[in-house]
Amino acid sequence: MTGTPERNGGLTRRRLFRLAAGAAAAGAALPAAGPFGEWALAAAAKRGGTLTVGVNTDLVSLDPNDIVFANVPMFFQVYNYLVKYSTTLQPRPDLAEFWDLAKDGMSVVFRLQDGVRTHSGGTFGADALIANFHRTKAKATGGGLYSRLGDWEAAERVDARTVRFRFSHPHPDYLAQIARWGMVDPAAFATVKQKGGGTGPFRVQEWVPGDRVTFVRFDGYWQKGLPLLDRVVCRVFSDPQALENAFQAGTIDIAHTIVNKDVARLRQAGFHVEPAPVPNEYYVLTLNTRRPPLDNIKVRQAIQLLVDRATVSRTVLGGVARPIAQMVTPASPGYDPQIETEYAYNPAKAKQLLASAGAGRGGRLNFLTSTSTPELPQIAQIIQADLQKAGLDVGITIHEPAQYFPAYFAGNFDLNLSFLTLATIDPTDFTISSAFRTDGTNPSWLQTGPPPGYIQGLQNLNATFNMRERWTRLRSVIRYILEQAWAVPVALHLPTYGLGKAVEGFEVDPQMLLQLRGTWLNR
Amino acid sequence: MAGGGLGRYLARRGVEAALTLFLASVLVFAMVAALPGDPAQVILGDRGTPDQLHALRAYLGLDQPLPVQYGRWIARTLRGDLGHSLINGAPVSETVGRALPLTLQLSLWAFAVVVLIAFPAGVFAATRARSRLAAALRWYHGWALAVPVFWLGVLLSWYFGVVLRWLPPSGFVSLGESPAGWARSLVLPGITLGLGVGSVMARFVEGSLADVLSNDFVRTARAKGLPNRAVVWRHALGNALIPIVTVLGIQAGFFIGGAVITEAVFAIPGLGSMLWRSILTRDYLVTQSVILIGIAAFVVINLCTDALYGLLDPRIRYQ
Repeated sequence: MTGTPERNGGLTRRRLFRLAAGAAAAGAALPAAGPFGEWALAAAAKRGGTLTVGVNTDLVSLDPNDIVFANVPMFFQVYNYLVKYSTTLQPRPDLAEFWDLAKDGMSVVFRLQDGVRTHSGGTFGADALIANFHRTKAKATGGGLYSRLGDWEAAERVDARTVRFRFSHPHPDYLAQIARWGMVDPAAFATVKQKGGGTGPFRVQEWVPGDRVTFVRFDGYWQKGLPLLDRVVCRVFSDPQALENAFQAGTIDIAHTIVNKDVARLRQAGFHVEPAPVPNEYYVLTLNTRRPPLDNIKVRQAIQLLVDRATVSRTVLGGVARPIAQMVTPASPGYDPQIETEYAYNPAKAKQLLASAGAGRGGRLNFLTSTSTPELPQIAQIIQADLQKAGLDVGITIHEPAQYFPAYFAGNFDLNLSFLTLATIDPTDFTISSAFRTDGTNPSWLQTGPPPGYIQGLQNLNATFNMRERWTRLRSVIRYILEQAWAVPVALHLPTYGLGKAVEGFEVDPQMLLQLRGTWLNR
Repeated sequence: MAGGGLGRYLARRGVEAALTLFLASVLVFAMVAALPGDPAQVILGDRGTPDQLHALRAYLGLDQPLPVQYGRWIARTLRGDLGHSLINGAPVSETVGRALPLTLQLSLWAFAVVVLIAFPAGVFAATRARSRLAAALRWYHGWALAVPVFWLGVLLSWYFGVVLRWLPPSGFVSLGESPAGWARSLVLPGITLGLGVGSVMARFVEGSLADVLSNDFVRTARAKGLPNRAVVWRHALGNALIPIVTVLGIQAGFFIGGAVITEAVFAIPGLGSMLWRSILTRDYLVTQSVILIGIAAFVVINLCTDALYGLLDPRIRYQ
């Protein structure tokens, strides 16, 4: 199994068309397609300028191992990854020009691109990759990636640009595991949290927590001709309305992100707002199976049928993020349209299930949610109303994230609404979320862990390297989860980006990383 | 007023202030520690395993007993080192050092708005109590007090920043970068923060001045033939100033609290938005430090107010 270069990239169709049409109209001959089609196109674009991006969450650190929600979108400016994923969900070369998985699945070889320079002026080769491996394998510095590389046992230098990694057991999802592994300049290890440092198209010039982070063009970037911008300034807006006002007033070029229900209004006013091309998160209702009456599978199945997804999507999410009844991104081969019909809103059937569940529905159900997004409490209210219509007494508890997580992980809830990761680039992606842990730390199945059928389903899925087969096997895992009804997907959690008139070549990958190396300003 | 008397008075108040700050530090620490929530969980989010959580809490020093944590914090603070943010690792002193001047500048603008509203409106309403304009002003003060700061900020930002495009809807420009840009960036936040307090003060100026205007010495001054302007602005207002300055001092102390919302709405990276973020993420060291600085500012403002009494009224003696 080997990797091949990407030819057409991940530009949105509209942008790609505009760029190509513009070049053709100008009579410019497009340069010969290089390893990255989109970068070759972008070479015909204007260079220079400062792009201002408004974001609604501040960075937690500049260390790519700290893969928290706030950090991830901006990391592609500073760091390269071994592979990146196209919007067609295919792995493409990034820092690794080639990779080869051993036939027994117990090791993989990565060959790095030639001539990669680090921000400190060094060379990024096999030794640097191995140093990154050891840094991520250490508990103190591994951050959120520490557990992802748990079964990656060793790294061996094959030559100056090639490294072999050995696994403790075959890993069909090995590429997905490292999809968010940004490569740090070894000279920056000690200061990376505050100052950053990698091989990416931009260097960190300054980070003022709570205010802004400024990236400047890295002239030694290994992809010739990139980046196109001189500077990217990322400004923090704690209030979503302030972000939208700044976008409408033109003081920022990109708003990351616009509240879903404001999208239609902004579009009507002539602003360009685009959703992420590939959704990778979803709102999901999780049920605590340890507490009555939710220990009764019929009650859980009834609740599953009482969630009016269409209303949630139409109202709270402004029709931008569609309803979804499964943990799989609609763009993937694992998505099963039949599930959407089978598990659609059906209050009549739900009432039958509740009646057959018998007496003892218990007292008031504690519905826990957080203020992580402005939409969560509003969605919870719609679900609460639906459940109350069926005779279930539900009280909502809304916590800020710092208070929410301890309550959730301690199992202090009956119902819980949050947003989690969809199966996007690999069928097992969704299992990264706590609701799908296989042990007793799963908040829906505290102490006992989820039923054996789920674990066996995952083992079966991971018993093959054939991606088509893996996506097929995922369908039965999803069906099992839905049958057990401890997790009820509600709707997509879809970031939407406000794009100023001058912004061209904007790209978002399936993991919501903004890729601004090919972005340019048409002004 | 004896200079030595003022010196002794200020020294005594200084000792009291130090004691107040010490007690405040204990209270602030205890209250912040009592907040439910976990910064380690905020950092790791949904994906942190119990092992990772445990390791991170130990790394952040959150596994230590509370008295030990307090002792470390206060010892560092006394040395001028406020520690490092639990969330992003940035030195708190450095972050506060960057944010505090912004909040002070915003407070200064808000203070100017307060003075510009309070004195003209208050004096007019006190001297023309039965006029229609005075009644309208009283209605306006009621509205300005009732209007939520958050709503007002969003509305001003949208109307003047987005619809009319007269002023930037958000952001801060430093004075060094562009004096005009600096002024423009602080107009809307200053109005947002100062409008409500301005109305409180206007009502207070009105009430206080109305009391003084009914005194015999005012009647005497008028009988002597002094112009009304001199009677009101020089003699009556001068006598009404002590309670006004006291309340103004207290209200100015609240600017730091009010800045939390104003700074969030206008994306100003000052102390207020820093405090707001730190509370949400349970960044204890930052929260404690910012609150303590706020209390210190309050104490200093009150000390200054006390010192001003003697200047405003020479009859006052400090003991």
